[in-house]
Amino acid sequence: MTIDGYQSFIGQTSLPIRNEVEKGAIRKFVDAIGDENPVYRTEGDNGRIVAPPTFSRTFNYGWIDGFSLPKDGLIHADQTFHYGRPMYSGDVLDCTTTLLNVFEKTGKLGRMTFFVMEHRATDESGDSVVLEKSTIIYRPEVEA
Amino acid sequence: MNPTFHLGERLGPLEKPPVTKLQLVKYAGASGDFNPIHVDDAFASSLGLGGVIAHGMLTMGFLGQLLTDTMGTEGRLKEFGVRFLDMVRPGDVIVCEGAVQECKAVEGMQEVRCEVWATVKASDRKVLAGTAVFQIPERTEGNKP
Repeated sequence: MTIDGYQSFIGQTSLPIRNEVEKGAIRKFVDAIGDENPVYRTEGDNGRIVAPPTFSRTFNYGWIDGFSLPKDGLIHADQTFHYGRPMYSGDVLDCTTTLLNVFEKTGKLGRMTFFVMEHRATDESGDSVVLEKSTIIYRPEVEA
Repeated sequence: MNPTFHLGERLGPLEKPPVTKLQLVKYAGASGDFNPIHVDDAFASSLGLGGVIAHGMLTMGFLGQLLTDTMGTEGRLKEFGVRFLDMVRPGDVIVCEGAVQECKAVEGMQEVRCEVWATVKASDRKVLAGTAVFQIPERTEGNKP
C-alpha cells in the first residue's frame, strides 16, 4: 500500500473486540517476565488479581477495515500506557484500535514509514481503563 | 508502609537473570506476539540478526516489575512510556533503573514522576528509556514507621 493509501485510514477506529482479563493469563504473563511478586498469584482484598503494567498489550484490539500493517520489516519504536484505573482479573473490556498518523521519513538507513496507533480498553461502565499509544516503523529492507 | 520519594532518588537497580530463548517462547505464548524474529533462529539469522532477539515489550515488562516493586501494593501507576533503543538477545542480563524527577502532592496522594531505563549489564548499551508516573498514599502521622 502506498503512503497515500495508508494515510486515507488516519482517524479510523476498529469495531470493539471484547477481551476478558483472566487469572491464568496474568500468571503465564508474569511467569514469562520472571516477576515473582505474590500480588499476581494471590487474590487481593477485592478477591481479584491485579494485572501487571504491560498486560494490556496481550489484548485483541481488532483491526481497521481494509487496513493492515506490512507483514515484515516492522520495528516497535515506542510504547506508552495511560492508566485510568488498575486492571483486574474478571474485567471485561471492549478494545479498539485507531490509526492516529502515518508519515514517512528518510534517514541514513533509507525510507521509513511511521505508524502511530492508539489502542483503548474500556470497561462496562464506559470508562477508559487503559489507553496505549505505539509507534511502529516499517523499513522495507532490514540491514544484513 | 508508604515510602516518601525525594527528587533525584534512585529506583532499583533491578538485575534480571539472563534472557533465555525459552523465555522468549514463553513470552510469545503469554503475549500472543509470535513474530518469528523472536522464536525462529533461522528466520532471525536470515535477516542478519545472528539469531532471535527479545520482544521489546519483554524488557518493558522488566521495567514494569521495577515500578510495581517500587510503588508497593497501594501504589497506582498512571503513566508509563518508553522508546525502544537497542536489541536484547538471549544471554543478555538486563538491569532496570530509575530516578525521581518530580514528587508533588495531588489530592492527598504523592504523585511521583521518574525517568526509567534498562541497560545490558557491564556494557553501556541502553536498550530502553522512558518515564513513569505513579501515585501512592501520602505518609501521615498515623502510618509513619
